[in-house]
Parts: sequence; structure tokens; C-alpha cells
Amino acid sequence: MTRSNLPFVLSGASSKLELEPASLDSGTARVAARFWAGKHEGSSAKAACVERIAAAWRDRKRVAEVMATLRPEEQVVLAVVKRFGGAISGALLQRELLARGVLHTTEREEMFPYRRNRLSADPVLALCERLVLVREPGYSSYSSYGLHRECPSVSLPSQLAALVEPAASLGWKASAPAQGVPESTSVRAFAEVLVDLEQTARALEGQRRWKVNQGGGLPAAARNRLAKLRQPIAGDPFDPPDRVALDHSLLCALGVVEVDGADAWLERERADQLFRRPPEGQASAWIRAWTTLRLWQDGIGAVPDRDNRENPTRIDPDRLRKGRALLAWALTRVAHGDEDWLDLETFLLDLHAASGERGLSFYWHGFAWQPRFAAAAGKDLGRGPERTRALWMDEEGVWAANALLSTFVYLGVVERGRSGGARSTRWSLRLTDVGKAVFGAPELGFKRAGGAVQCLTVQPNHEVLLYLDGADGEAVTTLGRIASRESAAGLVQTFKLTRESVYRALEGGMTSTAIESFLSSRSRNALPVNVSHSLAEWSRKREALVVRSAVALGVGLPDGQGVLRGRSVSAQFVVASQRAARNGAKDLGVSAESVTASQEWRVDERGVVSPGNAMSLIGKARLRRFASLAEGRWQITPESVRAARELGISVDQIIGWLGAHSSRDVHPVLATAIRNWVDGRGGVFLGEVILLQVDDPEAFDALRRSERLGPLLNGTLAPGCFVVAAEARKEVAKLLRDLGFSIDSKCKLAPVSEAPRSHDELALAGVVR
Amino acid sequence: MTTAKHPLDLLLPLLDPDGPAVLVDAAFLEVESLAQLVELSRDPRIGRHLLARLSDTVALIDPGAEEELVKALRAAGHTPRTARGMES
Repeated sequence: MTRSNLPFVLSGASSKLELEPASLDSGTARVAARFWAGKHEGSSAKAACVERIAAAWRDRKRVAEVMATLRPEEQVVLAVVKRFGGAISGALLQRELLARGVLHTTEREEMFPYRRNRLSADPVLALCERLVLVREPGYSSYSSYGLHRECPSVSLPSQLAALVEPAASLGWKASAPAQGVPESTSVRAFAEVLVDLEQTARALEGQRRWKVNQGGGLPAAARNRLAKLRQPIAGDPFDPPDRVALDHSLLCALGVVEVDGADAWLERERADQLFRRPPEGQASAWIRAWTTLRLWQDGIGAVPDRDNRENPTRIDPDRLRKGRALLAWALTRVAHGDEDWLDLETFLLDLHAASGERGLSFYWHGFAWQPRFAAAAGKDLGRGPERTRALWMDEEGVWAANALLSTFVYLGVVERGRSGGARSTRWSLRLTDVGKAVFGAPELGFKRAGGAVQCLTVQPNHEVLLYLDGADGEAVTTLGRIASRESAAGLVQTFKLTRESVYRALEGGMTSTAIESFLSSRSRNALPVNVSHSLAEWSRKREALVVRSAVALGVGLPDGQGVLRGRSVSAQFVVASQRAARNGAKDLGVSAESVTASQEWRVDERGVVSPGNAMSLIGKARLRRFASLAEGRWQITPESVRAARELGISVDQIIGWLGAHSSRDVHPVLATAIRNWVDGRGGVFLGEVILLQVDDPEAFDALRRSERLGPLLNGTLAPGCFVVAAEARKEVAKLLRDLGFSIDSKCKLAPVSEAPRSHDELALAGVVR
Repeated sequence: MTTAKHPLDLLLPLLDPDGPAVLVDAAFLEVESLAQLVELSRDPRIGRHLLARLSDTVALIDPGAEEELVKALRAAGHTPRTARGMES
């Protein structure tokens, strides 16, 4: 058995603030310089003060001496900041200091009166004033006061951090004990979570690159497609909404999925590194990632990356992040508490008390799971703390309930308990062993079995049973590579070895020996002979067909030449490495020809191809596929094109090849002819029509409206041109004469080169009515 | 009417160089037997990506069509190994 230590789960959750000399005011610089470097008779200009502070910080002994002069409550503040990795948000610092008794809820601002030229009595501000801590820019202690005054977010400069010991863990004491062990419980094994996440990652990887919404969210269509891997449990309010979006968001936050604009892709190496970490290490990474998610929210699901104050689309992400950090902080305390099971409602009430009115605070309603808490019943009371608490229990409390009993159960860090009947249900929770290790770190470790556990059974029908209670990252990721998942729930999951799944693994770089070795070493039974035979056969079939790229070909080289060495595939041809070919070509005085098409062909509209002086190997090979050589000239003919079509060569492919090798664009008549030869398209009308051409537009329009002429026309052909029905020619002539037209004008034609190119410009309309 | 001397002459003629040459960045399809190459060349979805044969078991792939050929082979139920360079 081995133990592992993790960092405190909220360590590094806040970004580190750097000391910016430019943003320092000269008063602070003077006070801090005097504190760190002692009295000084020289210049008290800001630059000189900053230099003295920097010099003092470089002197480790001096730093230790000065730090020893800090007040005990200031030492506690520094220890807390160190526990959080050297940077902590104001909200968390406030709650920590309240819980540790450094601050008191009864304190009012007047207890820290402002005194000119004196340090603040508030230990956090006093440390900031002497630059022992760096506080967030723009923070003002005057902007709020009393109970509502929040500490600034602060960082501990790295030069000082080495001399500070992190604070010890805080415990958690429920305000009321849980009512024993719940009647039924739900828990997910670590490996169950891992298999789901790994399968989602593998399915995403199968898409190579995929489109994402603004901010990197997975579009609904992609979510629905991936959701088929593991269908949501119908009617289960605890199944996280948009589970695939949760997986995707986690993988993004973990750096396994990269997003660039509208494109996303999976980084396989990072995925493997993550999935092969020990259980508590992975779960800790999941929880850290969860605190940062902006596009998936607990009890809500996938949310868009936009906010609207009038019509909110999601919980304000910054407020939610603060809330998640406070919930995780409470669980770090639970991990160090004495209780096993916690009553959910009691825990939420305690959380409300511990996180403060403004700590976990946001607006949302309509969560996936909507528990009815007795403590939420006081919403109708008059203004006061009870009503405030009731409102909180009905909104933020419900969010926290969804996070605890849905998200955290899904992530395998919390076990859900239920007692009582339908009307008197009491929900409870406790941390799983992995959860205790995650939230109890660094003090609490995780006991896990050392070495590789035999967690598989390989059956003769090629099914592989994976026992999740003993599965580790290596087993899950390797099995995910070589087999496809058949069942998606439960502690024993079924995978199947198929020719395709094994082929994918072999293409991914695994060898058949490695696959067999993995199955043999991790299986509880001996590998069935037929399965072993299948693996060998599938591997052999793959080897029987090779698509080899990035190689060179030597053609018709002199007999006995030893310069270009490679594999002879026939008397004429040698396949060689690129490097050997380039060097060999130089020595043999042969130019190394690229596969890139040289544009030397001239192709006329009759399909005669003049390839230029010397045809490239590729050019000639292509030409032979769709043209015929007759009397020393290459000609594209209906027969040659149809023969190419029989071989699967498409019209677009032929035109593409012609375009690639020709010095000019393919003549459109030839392109049209090639299409016609293959598709049999291109019907035309060739015949006689009786044309009535009217030059004057007004006269044309008048005739168009004529009730007498209309029935005698077939339609129009172009502006000013009617097509007369053949049998009505005489009648039309008479009518036109009656209307005073002379019908002896000459037909006016535009040159062919001026013919309109677009069909829209031709008045090929129906009968004029 | 041309009389085919080789079973592949009409489906996939032998590469016909004009003289000594070295072609770089080329791609080939390697199979186990002539029968297999005949079968693959006869399939229009696969044959369209092949330009010429180098032997009874090796064919020159149309440059840039390697991925499409692999897809076509997979779609036809084959499991081709993809290799880069001279690695075996």
C-alpha cells in the first residue's frame, strides 16, 4: 500500500499579485522601507525606498528578523495565505480568519479606528501597509465597513513565503448531528468517473478537430451526438445535466482540450498524463478545474458565454466561482471534521453561517434537482436574518445541494445518502475516500493498492469485463484504446475487442504484443486461445496492406548502381528513404523530382494535350489514366474519359489534374465536354423559331399586355423578343399590320461575344399573358 | 481493342518513365499479392486514388490522396497500416 500527498485543493486557486513599484504610493513605500530596512537618513524618495525594500528582501536573515516582529494574529494571516499557495481571495481570507478567531463577526469598523501615521489595527491591512502582503489593486478599506467589510485579495511575495509555515487545517462541526446511517446510498467509484471522462476524450479525439461555440462551449449537436456514448438516466435529477458538456468543460479546464477561436482539439499526451495519475491526484485536478468552469453550471448544465442582466442566461460566473471556492473550502473543513455522515440541510445551514451573507451569493432558480428544505419555509416572514436565510436556502442553498449531491457524486468525491419516505426524505452526504484525500490534503493521504491490479476478465466472445473497484488509469486508458465500450454503467463494465478497435490501437502505435501482454497481465483469467488467435490475425491483416507515404522512388536507374539504396520492388523501381534519394540523385546526376505538378501542359478545347518537353512521372501517370496516346499525341476523348470513369476517376478529378498541370485554366468547352461525356448532361435546343422583335420598349410592353396577341405567342426569348407560335404566324402578321406596325424591319442581333452570361439575363419565360 | 498482357494493364498500368528519375515525397500502396491489387484496383472508390503499378504488389498513389485512400480502404472493410518513410 502506498500513500500520496496532494497540495491543499484551493492552493493556487487565486492568481498571484506581483508587487508593482510603479503603483506604490510614496507613503506606503516610506513605511514599508522603514519596516524592512530600518531607519534611514538618506533619501526617502519612492525609488530609493523600493530599492531598500528589495535589498532587505534579498537578505534572508533580515527577512527572518523582521518577520519575527509581527504580531501573532499577523503571523496567522500569513500562515493562512501560505496554506492557500501564497495567494488567497478576500472572501476566503475573511472566512478563514473568522473561523480561526483572528476576526470576529461582532467587530465593527470603529474597533479599528483610523489613526494618522499609525498602522491599521486590522492585521490584513497592517500587513499590506508594510508590504508583507501585496493586495489587489484598487482595494479600499473605506468602501465597506463592519460586518460587510471584506478583506482584500492578497499575495505573499515569494521572497517571504519560504519563511512562513502554512496554517493547520480547520475542522467542521455540524450544528446538529445527522440521524445515523442513511437507509440507502449512492456512490461512484473513481474508475467509473475515469472511464466516462476517458471515453468522452476518446470520442472527441475521433473528431480530430471540432467546432465550438463562443468561449469554447460544445455546440448542442455535438453534445447530443456524444451523449449517445452514455445516455442520461431518464428521470434521475442527480444525473448532471448536459453531462457531456461537463466532461468537455473539465477537459478544457484541465488543458486536455485546447480551444483556438472556433476550433478545438484534444492533446493526447496531456490526456494520457492526466488519466494515468493516481486517483486522488486526478480527482483533485477535477475539483480544481470544476471551480473555474464558466460554461457548465451545477444543476443547470451547459450555459452560453454571454450575460444579460435583464434576462440572465446563467449564474454570474465570477460570483459562481467565488461560491464554488467557498463550498470547496467548507468541504476541506469537513474532511478534517469528526463526523461521518452529514445531514444535507444542516450542512447547508452551517455553510450559510460559515460563508456569510455575501460569500455565497447569486441569483438563479430552476435547478435540475429542486429539494424542499424546511429552512426555506420562512421566506414569507418579515425582514430579518431568518427570512434572509430562508431565501438563501431556496436559491444558493439549492445550487449547493445540486453541486454536492449531483456534481460531486458524479465526480466520485461525495457519497449521497437518503433516509425516510417520499414525504419525509432526508438527504445526507459524506466524503468518499478519494474525496477525503482531495479535500483533506495535504494532511490526509489516500491509501491505495500498489502495483498493477488484475481488474479484467477476457471472455472467449471477445468481451472484456472491467472491474471498476480495482481499475486504475493505466488499465482504463489502455482498454479504451484497444476495445470499444459496450455497457456504460455499473461497477463492472463491458468492453469488446473488435477488429476495428484493435486496428485503431495498432494505428495509434501499440503493438499486438503489447496488447496481448496488457490483457494477459491485467486479466484475472488466462487469455482465451481464440482471442489470442484473433489478435494475431487482425494484426496480420493490417500488415498485409500498407499505405506508405513520405518515401522516394528511383526509376530506371543504371544497372548495378550502388548509390541509391533502398528496396527494389521490381527490376525498374527502387523505393528508398527521402534522404537517400536526394543524396543518390545528386551523385547519379539525376534531378530529384517532386510530386508537385509542374504546369507545362497546354490543353486546347479539342482535348489535345501537349505536355511540354519532358513529362513528369506523376503527370504522365495521371494523363495515362484519362487520355489516350494516338499517333504520338495525347488526346482526351469521350472513350478515354468514360474508361477513366469506369476506374472510379471522377470528372472533377480529371479537371483538377488538368488544371494542376496546365499553364492556363482548362478551356470551359473542354470542361463542359468532359462533363457531358460522363454525365450525359448538356441538352440544348437546335431548331427554328418565329421571332417577333420589337425595338421600341414601350411598344414591346404594350404588345406584352395585348389580349389579342398573347394567345398567339409561345413566350419571350430576350428583351424585345417574342417567340410566335408557328401556326399563328399569319394571324400575328395581320394583327401587327392592323396595329400599324410595318413588319419588314431587319432582325438586330448582338455579337456572340456580347451574349449575356447569366441565365437570369435571358428572358426564357413562359407564355406571355 | 488493346490486348492486355497483364491482369492489371487495363486497371492499373505499369508506371512508364521516360528515363531515369528520382521522385520524392511519393506514396505507395503495398499489398501481399497480385490478386489483392487487382481486387483493390477494380474497386472504383479505391482505384481512383491509384496512378500506376510498380510491381504486382506495389502501386503509386496519387499525390495528396493518401488520406482519402486510407478512408476508402477502411470504408471498404480493410485495415491498412499507415507508415511514414521506410519504417517497416
